[in-house]
Amino acid sequence: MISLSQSKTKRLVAIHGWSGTVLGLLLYVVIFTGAVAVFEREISVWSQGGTQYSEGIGRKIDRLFRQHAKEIDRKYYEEIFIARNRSGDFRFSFQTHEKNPATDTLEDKAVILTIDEETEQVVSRWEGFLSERAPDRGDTLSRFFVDIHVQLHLPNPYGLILVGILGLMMMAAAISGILIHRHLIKEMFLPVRPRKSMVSARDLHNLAGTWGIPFAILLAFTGVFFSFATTLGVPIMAMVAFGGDQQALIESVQGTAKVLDKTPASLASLDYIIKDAINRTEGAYVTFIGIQHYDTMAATVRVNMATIDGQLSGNVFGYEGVSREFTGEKPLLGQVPSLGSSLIGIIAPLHFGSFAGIASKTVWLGLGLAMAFVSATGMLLWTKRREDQAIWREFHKWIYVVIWGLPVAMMVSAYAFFLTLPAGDPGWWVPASFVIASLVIIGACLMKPFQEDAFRRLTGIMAVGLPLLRHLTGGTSWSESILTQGQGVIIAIDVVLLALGLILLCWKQIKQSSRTMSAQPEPAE
Amino acid sequence: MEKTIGLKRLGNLSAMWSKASDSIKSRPKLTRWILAGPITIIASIVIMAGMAFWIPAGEAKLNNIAIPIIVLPIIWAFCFFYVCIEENLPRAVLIMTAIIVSHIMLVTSAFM
Repeated sequence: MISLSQSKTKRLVAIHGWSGTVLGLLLYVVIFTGAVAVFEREISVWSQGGTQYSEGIGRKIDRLFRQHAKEIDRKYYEEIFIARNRSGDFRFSFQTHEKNPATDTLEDKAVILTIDEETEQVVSRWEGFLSERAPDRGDTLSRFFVDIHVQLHLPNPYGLILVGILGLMMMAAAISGILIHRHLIKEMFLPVRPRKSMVSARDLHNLAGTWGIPFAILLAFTGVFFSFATTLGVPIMAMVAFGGDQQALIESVQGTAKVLDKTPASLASLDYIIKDAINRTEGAYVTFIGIQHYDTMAATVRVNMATIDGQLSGNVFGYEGVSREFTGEKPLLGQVPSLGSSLIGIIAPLHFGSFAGIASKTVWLGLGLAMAFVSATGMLLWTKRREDQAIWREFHKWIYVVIWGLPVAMMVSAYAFFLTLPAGDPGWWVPASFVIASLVIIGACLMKPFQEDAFRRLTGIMAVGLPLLRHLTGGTSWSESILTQGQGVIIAIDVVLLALGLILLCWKQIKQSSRTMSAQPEPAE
Repeated sequence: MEKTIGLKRLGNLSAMWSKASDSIKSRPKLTRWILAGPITIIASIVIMAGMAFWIPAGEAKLNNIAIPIIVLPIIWAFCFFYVCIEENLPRAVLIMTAIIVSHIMLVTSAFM
């Protein structure tokens, strides 16, 4: 039990309420889309299909890489990255640093080749500044959800800063929640009073909030780090420690050698390096290869391995590019292991919930939705208590509109994606349809009173229809996904959507039967 | 003679502080809003910047850069809840000012 004076408690209650309510609707949007974005990779596979490559870049890649590298301008040999995209095609990204005339800052400029594994032909070639690159057509839907979560689809850096501020508010609400709930442990096990009233809503808010507090603080902390690290942290630290030279900071952090021997020299066999890296782990495959200063004496190769059981993140191995000599296991940042590098290494898996595959992601989804519930019920309680004032009464209504309107608008963007993927431009239609749907919902709620039942039914119908539309527009069939692609995730998401839709459509009947069951008297012993 | 001047200066400082303290106490809500809002943000950023000089860089020479960026949200939370909970507002103003000034001095001294 935390003992605080009356005035301190009053102040903390005000912080708890205001931090969750001011910009609370935006916070709800960020939390809800974040919970969905946990499955970004899976949504991407579900929406475009694709083969699951359990062997990563294990295939002999050396010949294919050299064959395409010789076609690229040497200025792009500064950094080369090899990976697979979500469809399973190889992606060779040749990069250099150049001043972008549009932003007047030093940026990554690249030539990106997408290569079909079977035919070894170039599927697509893209050249330009990476900051101006649109996501792959197939990734549009999942990237859109991530983009709303990360920066509310606002331009950089304003979106990141706004979401960072929302993260600070979430942190303030969670910490003040701990301090004001005097009987924290007791409240974790309190039964919810079965009444359709403020008391019951408060019980549910307290129950979900109390269980979710550690998670809320963890998510808010790691989220604020992601928002402010690049917009505030790196520029300020570059200013302080490197006289404003961000490139010098990045080179210090990445451990780039100060003096580079640019004498031309052939890179050692990538196949040999891949084989050696695989042999150094217990069954991990290669996910990513980074080559610096290709075709010179200064060349180095970094090989990222997949995460295996018992690891939070996969190993990264370093090699001399020409002599193929193993230079040791590389930390995420710098040349030697450090506390800073280890801490940054665990932030991503903790925020994304990706440390134990689908199991941890499912837990993160559940906890994320619980946090969205806490955020929404908190706002409803706060506004209900002030319903004698017109402004709060109006705000109360709009909380319901956002709670139900957001999933509907997200579903509409998914419909737009499937309808425009075969022939149109999903990169334009997905965000446009989201905005149009939001405007239609707002307009409808301005003209008519909000009807929760109508929104529930609409969400249910759309959820049931989505797997059907995916199938009708040429999406991977269930048999194909299992038999030829090894993708159980496509069926899993279809089934979840169908189940969710049916639950929402039969909501009244489910509630009625649960009331009947709880009303029945217990048999006498 | 010097002792008298010193005592006089101390007396002046004390009078100034008591005047400032009264002014802070007469506007508790406004002071707390300023402290919890802009002052906390400034303090967090300045502490993060100053940490580059007192956190050991380590063998990798990056702990003093990476750790302050990582702990920025924690610094903000500490400052924010401290100024919200502190009953003695003049003391909160004094402590926050001391933190900000000391870290600004630390940062500027590195450029001199």
